[in-house]
Amino acid sequence: MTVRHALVLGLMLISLAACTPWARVDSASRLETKASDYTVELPVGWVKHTANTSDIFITRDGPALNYIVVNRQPHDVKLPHTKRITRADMLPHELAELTLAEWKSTDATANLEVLANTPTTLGGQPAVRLHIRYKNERGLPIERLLIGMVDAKGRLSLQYEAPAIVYFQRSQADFEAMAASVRLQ
Amino acid sequence: MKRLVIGALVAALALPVQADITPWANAAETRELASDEKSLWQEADEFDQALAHAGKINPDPALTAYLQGIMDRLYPEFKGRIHVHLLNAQHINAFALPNGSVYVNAGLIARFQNEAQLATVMAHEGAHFTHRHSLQQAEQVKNAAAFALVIAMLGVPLVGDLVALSSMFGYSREHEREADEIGYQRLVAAGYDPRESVHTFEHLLADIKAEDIQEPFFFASHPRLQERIDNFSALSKDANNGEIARERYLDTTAALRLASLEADLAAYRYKQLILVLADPGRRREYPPEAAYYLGEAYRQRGETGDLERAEHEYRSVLETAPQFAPPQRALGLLLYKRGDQALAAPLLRRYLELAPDAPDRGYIEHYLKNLKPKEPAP
Repeated sequence: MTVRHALVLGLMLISLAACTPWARVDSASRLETKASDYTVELPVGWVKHTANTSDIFITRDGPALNYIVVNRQPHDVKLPHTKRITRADMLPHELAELTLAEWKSTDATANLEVLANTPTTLGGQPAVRLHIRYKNERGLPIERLLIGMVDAKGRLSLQYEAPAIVYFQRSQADFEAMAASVRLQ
Repeated sequence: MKRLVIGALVAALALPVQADITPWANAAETRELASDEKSLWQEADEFDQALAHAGKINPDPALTAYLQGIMDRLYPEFKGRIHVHLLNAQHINAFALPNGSVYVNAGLIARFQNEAQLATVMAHEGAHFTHRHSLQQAEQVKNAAAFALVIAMLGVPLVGDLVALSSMFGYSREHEREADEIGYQRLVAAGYDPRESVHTFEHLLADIKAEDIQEPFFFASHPRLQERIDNFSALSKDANNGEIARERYLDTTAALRLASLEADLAAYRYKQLILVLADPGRRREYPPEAAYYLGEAYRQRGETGDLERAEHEYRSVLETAPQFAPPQRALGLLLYKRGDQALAAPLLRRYLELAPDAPDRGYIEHYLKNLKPKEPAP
């Protein structure tokens, strides 16, 4: 092996180590700040996906069993299924209507059941709280809880999803605490 | 990507119709199957179960019996062998499986105006089964097991994507043409007015244009819709009158068609709603409450003048159906957003009176709280 080959191999190993996409959340790393836009406290013990820098994606037992995703987008980015945009002057019920339409426009969640659809707050701003249940392709009931809002900068949502049996209830408190910790800057 | 793969599969199967597989003459002939065909049927049986398990089937017994009755009228010698299922899906779609299961989407039924138009589609799908098109295609890839494997790989784990799933059972263009021909003969033999078949495809084409999309993937291997309109026009030019069954169709499907409007609205498919309800002729097929859905569709579209159009529709339905709660809410919210607080409040309160269990009660109460006059500062 030449020096050059060794150097390339070494760099590859270093870069592979640096690219490990998952990191466990501990008390020292739980405060997440996104682009001087908002802060949120992640639940300790969950695992964070580090590859995506625009969103936060965490899971406790694996993405198939539970996950929380935080998504911040500008208004003019079209929603993938309805192809609609959001607006800063949307009322909370309009945001809820559009969110449900987005989910109903994809076959996977077309037959969703709305368990709750109520106004709430996120970071002190008027927001929506949507709780749905649907069956996945294997007939397993899945529950999804979303808290979302719009402001002048765009739309912000936290979404928690897990199988209805056992898993959803198990981590719901972590999600609620995480949503309550959101601070807009 | 998945659709490209399926498309490639469909294209690979688009070979000339297999001549040595004869159509079945009746249900009794389907009792003994060779192993290749048995394998296809087993895959289809699993697909049936997966759809049912995923809650995609509309269980309404009256509607299912109605659809089954149409199929039995078209294919009386296959009664008990072709099973029709109503799918809770809004895509304009229908498809047949190798085992005689025929699926009709709720959204398709909502687009048609009479039984003869729906029968056109069902006669077509029935022909795929009676003429064993699945087996012919399996033979064309020389290996039914491989075909079944492809189906299994593409289909069963992905029940969520109904468009792709129905497409995987898509047939070659030659088979589609044959199904059109056989279906037309069945339509005539069953006593339906064959001229309605032209309108069937006109409705599908209008729907596609309204959505500003390419022809749905399911139809990708079919002859183009305009070509089919021309073909059916030529076929039915000198046809005798037959039954249209408009009233029976509208009565039997009334609840489904209204539910379909709601489903379209809930998924922001406002273009389809406007396509149907802005046509005065089609509007008469719905109760007065349909004006509310049209108003909501205008609001969702949000083009210049649409809020005024929406307000007009809300007000018209408030006059014709004053006990119908949704337009009270819709007009109240429109006025709330416009800043007409004095006018919005009574409408929103009336909505909650008429719909005390409204799922959006929390929002309405929140807005009503905002509408309360502020206490003067001391």
